[in-house]
Amino acid sequence: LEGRVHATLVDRAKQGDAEAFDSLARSVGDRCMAIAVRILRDADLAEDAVQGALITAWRELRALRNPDLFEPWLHRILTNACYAEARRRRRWSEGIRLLPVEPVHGPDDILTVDDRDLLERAFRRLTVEQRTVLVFHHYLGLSVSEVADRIGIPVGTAKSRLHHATRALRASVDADARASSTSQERMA
Amino acid sequence: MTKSRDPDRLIRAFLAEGQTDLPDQIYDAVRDQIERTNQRVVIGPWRTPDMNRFFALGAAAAVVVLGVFIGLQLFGGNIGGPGPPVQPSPTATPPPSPSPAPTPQAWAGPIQVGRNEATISGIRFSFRISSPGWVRTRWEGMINLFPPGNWIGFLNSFDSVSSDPCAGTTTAVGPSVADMADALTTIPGTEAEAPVDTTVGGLPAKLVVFTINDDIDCDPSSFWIYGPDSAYPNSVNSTIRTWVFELDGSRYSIHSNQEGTDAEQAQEITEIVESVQFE
Repeated sequence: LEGRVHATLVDRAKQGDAEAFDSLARSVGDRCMAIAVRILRDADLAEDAVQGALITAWRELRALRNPDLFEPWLHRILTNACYAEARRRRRWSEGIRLLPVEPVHGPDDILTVDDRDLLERAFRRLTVEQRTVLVFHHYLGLSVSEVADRIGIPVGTAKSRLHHATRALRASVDADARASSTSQERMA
Repeated sequence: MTKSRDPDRLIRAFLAEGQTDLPDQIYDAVRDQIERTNQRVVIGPWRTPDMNRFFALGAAAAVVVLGVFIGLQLFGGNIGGPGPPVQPSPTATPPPSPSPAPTPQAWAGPIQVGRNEATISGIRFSFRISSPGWVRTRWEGMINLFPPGNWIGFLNSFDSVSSDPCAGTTTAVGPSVADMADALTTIPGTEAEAPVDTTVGGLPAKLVVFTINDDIDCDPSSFWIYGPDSAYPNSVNSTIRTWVFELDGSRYSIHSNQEGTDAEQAQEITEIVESVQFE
């Protein structure tokens, strides 16, 4: 049903109906924000990326042939917007201090404060492209081939990015576990 | 992390946390912007737009050529449709009435039409925006007009220009305004006009206008204008305008990027910079 509502709004928006596009944006904006803030690890940057992506989507909407595919199409635009924000941040001002993403605990509250800190640091060390694949795969629950299709890269590239990103995060987790284990042995 | 646990589960739990709401002000800003942004007319196969390089140059050129043709056919030269969003003519905007003192703002956020005040590196100044759509970015001093491509970076203090923009190597520039203006005309991969005398905030200044050649050896996002991690053009289809001036014994510049050649957008950028007043 949501898809049909989207398709109807897309058809109206393609005719230049700003009201329809506004409704469309409000129906997908939160999900876009959730994706962008997880990729960029900064709420302000994520807002800029989503705003830019929505305006680009409006401008390019008539190029979208299948209205049912609006959201995947938008996600690809959003991905490019996130890449642009990440590059611009890095190059325009190196001195900006990134604030940590405000933790809002999820239903699966298995993370300790140390876990979050460890994963946050490890996540920020990944490239924005690797973070994107992780977010689409682990957060949106897409398969690797779906991720590749969603962000417009070959399946092999998606697999490679996911492999390296996951390995890097696992290495951080394992290293921390080993360090904790060693510390406990010394205390015992 | 004191227990051995499934790393994949930890990653999923980590990603499940975090903000999921887009603030209302962003929806409002999008609504405001789309009402003044034309939708692109589709003339060819679908291609996902890239935020930095919306179209391959050839495709863009084709759009522009066809757009001009269609525009001339339909409107007799009063062109709409394809191309960059049409900006309200600055001359059509009523001049601001005598207004109260500008309201100080934190840097990031929407920009009001009218005079806006800012402080960068301790220097207080104001500038006037004549049409909506500009936003202050998270990078202090930088304002963007969405869609990205047109932006202005206020009060930079570069002391070099690139000798090889793709490699990130630089040439030191002498201390004067003229030294920097002259140096900006020498950047490989660009075509610059001779510096012209102008003013910024009533101060003597030089304006250098240059374009990025379409045969540069690297992606535009790696084409450093003043040296590594400085500024780069949004595309080879960009026109850079740099105003160089001296304030209280220090040299500053205001750098702008215009994607495309829309005359009204060029005028709007120029008017914003020319409206600068120092406190």
